[in-house]
Amino acid sequence: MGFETDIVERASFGVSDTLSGVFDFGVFQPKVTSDFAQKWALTDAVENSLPVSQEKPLLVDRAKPKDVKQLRPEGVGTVLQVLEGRVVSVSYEEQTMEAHLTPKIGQVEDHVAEIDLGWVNQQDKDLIQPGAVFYITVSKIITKAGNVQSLNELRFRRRPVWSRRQVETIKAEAESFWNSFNSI
Amino acid sequence: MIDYGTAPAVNEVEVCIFGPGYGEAIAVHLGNRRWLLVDSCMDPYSREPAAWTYLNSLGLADSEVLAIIASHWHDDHVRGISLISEKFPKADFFLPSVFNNKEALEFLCAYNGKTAPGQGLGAQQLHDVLVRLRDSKRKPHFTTQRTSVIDDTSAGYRVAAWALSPTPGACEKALAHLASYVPVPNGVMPINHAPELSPNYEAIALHVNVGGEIILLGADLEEHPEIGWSAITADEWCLSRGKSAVYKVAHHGSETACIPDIWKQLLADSPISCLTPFNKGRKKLPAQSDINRIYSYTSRAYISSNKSKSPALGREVVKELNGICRNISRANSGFGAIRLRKTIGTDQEWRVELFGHANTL
Repeated sequence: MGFETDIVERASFGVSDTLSGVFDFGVFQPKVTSDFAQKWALTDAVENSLPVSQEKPLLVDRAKPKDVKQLRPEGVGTVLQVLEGRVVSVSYEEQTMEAHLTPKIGQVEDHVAEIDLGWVNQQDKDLIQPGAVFYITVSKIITKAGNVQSLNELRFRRRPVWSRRQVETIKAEAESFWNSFNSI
Repeated sequence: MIDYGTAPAVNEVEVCIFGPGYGEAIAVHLGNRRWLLVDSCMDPYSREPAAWTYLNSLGLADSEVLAIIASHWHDDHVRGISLISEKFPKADFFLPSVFNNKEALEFLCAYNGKTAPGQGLGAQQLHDVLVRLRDSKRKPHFTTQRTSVIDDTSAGYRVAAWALSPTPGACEKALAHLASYVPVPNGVMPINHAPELSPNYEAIALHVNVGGEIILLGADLEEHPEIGWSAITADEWCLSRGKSAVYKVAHHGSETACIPDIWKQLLADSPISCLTPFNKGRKKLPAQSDINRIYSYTSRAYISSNKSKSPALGREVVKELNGICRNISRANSGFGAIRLRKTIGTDQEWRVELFGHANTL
């Protein structure tokens, strides 16, 4: 069984002066079908503007994020802040996680906060663990009618897996330390 | 920038504890412009390591640093330590002996920040120090209980610093933890930040004796009946080092790092107790119960900075984030330093000075 994803709506945003580039948020409804999963490219200037690993993140199918508003294509948005979060601890009894937040826009100091696990997409729940990285994007959208709407999203970074080459490099460097520090 | 006044006299011992709310660094003056540096955090004003900024501001940038100690690898204790090591290249570098194992070295190499920037900041700092040492054909000192960090009598009085921890058992336990995060190419393990593993049994607690003036630096060592603080208070060798009149309280004052025997066996009556807060994590440290407990043992306690401060993200962003987050606060609650000075070998009391946001506990 696979998933077929249809992009229901896309929105283009203008961006604030502090973040260059144009980015899209794809909003889609997954349908369970017998067809093979259809991957789609997610272009996101938020991710592209941030430090990334050499390997591209895996492309994944995502359910509609909770509380993301349906957007009109002509909406103009401003990203107020992007925070890179790192999970410090998780409490499944209280359904919260403690996170260290690093603002990415402007010279703003780090913060800490508790986040309700309900804000995490169902498909990202398996990523919740100490050390996991996520991004919170805080945006405002001015709709065609002139209304201002909030658009806040929490998205876990589905990291690439360690490659064989990376592991070999790690082992080789560790070996060089070991030999250097344990030589007579 | 903080005005730290004047440098210590050559016959003065000094302990200066820096803390920005998330982070800790200690500079110990051993007399005669010689220093011991333990851990590192960043001075938010200079944006450089706090100990470096301190020595520089006192005109002591060319001082002799005998040893730099990374008590453990958590990033709140080693931020900027690679730069400190670069500034004082002749200093011996000490780190817990758990890192004298291939798996632990692989851990540092994996989370060295190169695979994804910002990953494993603490591991990255230690990794960078090891690279420099390896490339300059020097060796770090892998430290365990009873390791001699300094033993010097050249100034006419003995200067000695001994590691009271970690025990071999603590290193084994820490190694197992670290090894579980060493990557394997199984196509499943994602590249993530290295989590800060707790409880902390592998930290280096240090006993420092400067001409009879004794200081206990508790690092983040926590209690465990066999490999934590009890392993120190039950060890005759550790007890024979002498009781300390100054105590850098372990693990930000938390109850997990406090047993009565620390205060009874290792410390003099009512020692001057200093600590840094920890404003990250579910439980901010020290809690009120921790403060009450510390005051049950001493009447003189100081903290390097305040509790968490209100967020500094802008009103609009905070308003939006309040829908997602609770208890948003700054990781750093204001930088401060506690400085203690005493003339070596006299009956004078220690003089306490508070800088920046430092305050009575």
